[in-house]
Amino acid sequence: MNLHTELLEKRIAQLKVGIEIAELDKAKVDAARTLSKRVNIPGFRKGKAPYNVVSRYLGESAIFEEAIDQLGSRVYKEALEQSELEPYGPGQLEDVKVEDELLLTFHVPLTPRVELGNYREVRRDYEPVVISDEQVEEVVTMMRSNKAETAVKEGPAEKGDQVRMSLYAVPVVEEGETVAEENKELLERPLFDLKDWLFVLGETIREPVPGFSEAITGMAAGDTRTFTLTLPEGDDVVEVLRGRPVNFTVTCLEVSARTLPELNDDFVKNLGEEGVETVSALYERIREDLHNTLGQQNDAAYADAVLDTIVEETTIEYPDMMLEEFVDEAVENLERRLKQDKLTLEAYLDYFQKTEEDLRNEFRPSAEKRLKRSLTVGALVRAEGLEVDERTYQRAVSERSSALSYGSEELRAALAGYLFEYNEARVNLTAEVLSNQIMERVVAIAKGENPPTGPTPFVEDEVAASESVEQPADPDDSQAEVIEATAEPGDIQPEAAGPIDSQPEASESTVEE
Amino acid sequence: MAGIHLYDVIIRPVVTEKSNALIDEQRQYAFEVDMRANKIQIKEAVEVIFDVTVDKVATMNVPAKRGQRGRRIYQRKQAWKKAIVTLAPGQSIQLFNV
Repeated sequence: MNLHTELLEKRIAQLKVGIEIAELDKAKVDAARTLSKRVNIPGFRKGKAPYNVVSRYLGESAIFEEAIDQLGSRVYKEALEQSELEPYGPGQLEDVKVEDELLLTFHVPLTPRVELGNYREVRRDYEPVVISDEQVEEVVTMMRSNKAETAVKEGPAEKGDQVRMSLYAVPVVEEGETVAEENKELLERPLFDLKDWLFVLGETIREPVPGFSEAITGMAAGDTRTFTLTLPEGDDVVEVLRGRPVNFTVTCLEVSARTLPELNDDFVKNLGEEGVETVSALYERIREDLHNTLGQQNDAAYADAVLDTIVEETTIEYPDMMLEEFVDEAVENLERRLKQDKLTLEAYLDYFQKTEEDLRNEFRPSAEKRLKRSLTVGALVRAEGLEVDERTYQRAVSERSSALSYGSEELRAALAGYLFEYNEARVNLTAEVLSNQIMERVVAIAKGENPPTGPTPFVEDEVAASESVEQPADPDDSQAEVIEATAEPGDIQPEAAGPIDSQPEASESTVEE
Repeated sequence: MAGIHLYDVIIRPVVTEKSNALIDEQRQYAFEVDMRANKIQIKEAVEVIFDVTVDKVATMNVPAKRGQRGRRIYQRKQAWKKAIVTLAPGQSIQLFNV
């Protein structure tokens, strides 16, 4: 066997293997035998037909193909071993030539190559969330307006009044405009057809179309108004409707004045918020809550941005096959979601008039992003020398199992047992912990804190320490043992690999299986 | 030759496991031949067509396969005549090229 290796672009290696003709002839004889076993040749029992009969009955090319099939897979294996390449997936036979010898050309996708840039130097300004007084005030006003009392009033509706109305709205189709078949549904049916609808004047968030409040201001019970408003141009509006005028017909049924409850300690007590009894305490609590939720969003966005920067600076090469696998995953996810709504992918594609190829093309950019991220994260974990030791894993298990058990002790124990016992679950959860840790590390780097490399030190925390977790493994070696990170985030299933966006999903599927 | 043309005597070679074995072991080649052909005609036909010397010819009538459906008897397979031709030592017919 005579081997010639060449690296093509995109992590594809080309293997050219030359094989002696004698070996090909031998393979052909073998091939004829297997073919005669498979094919029914009249006059012969299966597997008993001689070479020339098979060749006359099926043709020489069929035997040749079969021979190449058999020979190819054997040769491929041997050639791969000799070449010492790291294949990512099964190779493909690209070309077969017979000259003085049989020349087989294989294309082998190789494991991705990830070269981190100078990620330790990545810096990004961190802007902590500042909660403005207005934001707090807005929440308070909303709370008050939820508890507002209404009283029917005579006369025109003013800002702040609650109007009960029937609402009918149709989009305007210009005369002579041709409506594409798929848009007919959208344009010919009323946009709104509500018989009894409550709307508070001035609540811009709930307006069907901007300017709606002004348009109905001053209506009294029994009035009917027709007016035209234009839909906004934004992305959240379906394309055919963007910027399209809409004819409204509104009949006012009733106007009520709303009185907001007075903001005092009594109001606060009535809210039933634990530990909050005074107005100032309420303000503080709201500020705190806002700070927490917005802060988390802010941190996540920050980490996201930092990771994006690192990904940008990383040289990543991967075979197309890997990307297609991520696309497959996305399609499967969609299919699963559709299935929950008792839909099939075919019906979905039909509805949107797309082919599966269109869908895959749509998914490809985001799949590429996820792939790059997960490869980068995997490389970062290796570069930073992160590891998950048994204590960290235990804590992750106790957190995960209590988060998913909804307070049921039995379920919690079962989950914890599962996470300890099953290797696949362990690998997934480990990868998740690692990806969380790497995100923390990366954030610290970007903030300029210059954290040391190596495993993230285990921080005792009281909750985790007091909440012991049953563990079937031998407790003696739990301290020293380091979980073999057989799968780093880069290697695992794409769905668990997204470090930020897909964690809850990944964990649930871990348990369901 | 009375009745049948030389090239109409032999209808097709019989290629089966058994006939293959006969070729390998005893230089015997099997053919389907015209029902009316006799051994002499067959010998002549094989010698002329394949350019070989024939030692011996054995013939047999392969009976029709009949089936019955209700009272009606029908023919599933036509009757035919088989000839097994033994060649002189050292000779072979290339058409069968084993």
